[in-house]
Amino acid sequence: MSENEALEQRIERALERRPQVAVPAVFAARVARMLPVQRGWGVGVARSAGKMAAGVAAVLLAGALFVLAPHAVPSFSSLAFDVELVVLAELAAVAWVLARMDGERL
Amino acid sequence: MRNNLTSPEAFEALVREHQGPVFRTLTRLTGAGAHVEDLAQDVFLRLYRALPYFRGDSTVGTYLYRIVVNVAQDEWKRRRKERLHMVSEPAFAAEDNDGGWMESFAGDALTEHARDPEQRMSDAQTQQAVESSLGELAETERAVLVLYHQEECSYEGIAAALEMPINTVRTHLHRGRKRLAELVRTRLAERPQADIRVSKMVAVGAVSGARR
Repeated sequence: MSENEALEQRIERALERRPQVAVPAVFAARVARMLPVQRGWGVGVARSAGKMAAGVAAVLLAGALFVLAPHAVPSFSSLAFDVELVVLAELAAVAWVLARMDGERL
Repeated sequence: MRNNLTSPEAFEALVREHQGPVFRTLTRLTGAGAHVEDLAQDVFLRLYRALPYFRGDSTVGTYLYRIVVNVAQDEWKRRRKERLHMVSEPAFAAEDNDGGWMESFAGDALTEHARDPEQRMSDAQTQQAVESSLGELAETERAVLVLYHQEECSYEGIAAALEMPINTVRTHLHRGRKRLAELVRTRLAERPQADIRVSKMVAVGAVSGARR
């Protein structure tokens, strides 16, 4: 066996070796005492409903953009252009809300 | 499952069931010390808060590993900030160089006795080099290596825990092993010189002590 292979084997053994940890006997009980009041199912349901509503809104807004596009003239005096700007802002807001929901770390 | 777990009694049982792997993984990812208990507490409280959103498409164990890695990464960020304000010495290396958890290995007694003293010595040196070098790897590579080798998670399990494709897990594992081997090799090459320096210092100390 070459020196490199021997070293790689030693590294693997070192990685596989589990540290022996001393978990305090009262740890689980202490964690259980610290639990916050669980808000229950309501939050989860409201959250997924909110996510779904945001998704539907994003699709509708994107559709509106396509409908308005042929009528829009790049000028603030054009109503279709102004509405497109508002729709774009709303779409950005929906995307931000969705990103925040997904980005919440465990 | 969610209904059962939200009661304090059931959650306490769940903590008892998973506390070992959580402590072990945190120790490997962040170094040994009193902080591990606080981090483990944080892990389980995050799990409890996340239970209403737990859809059951992964096991509690996988979910826990995800939280452990997040908590370890937050700890690393906190240390980096602290280090910027305080010292130049890396916190992980400082904790590991003093031996840390290595003194209390759950070593397999049979295999330990089967090796000769020289082999055991070189294993111990490699172990120490591995622990110090782990701290120099990228966070994801370190997490993938620990989950794969120490916790014996499958590629699929790691992919679910770290929310990345299986091929990315493979790439991180390959890169992590390669980088770790380079770091360990460098450390082991430096070691004999450091040992010689220490023995010279001891000899000089003994001579000057004898003169006095």
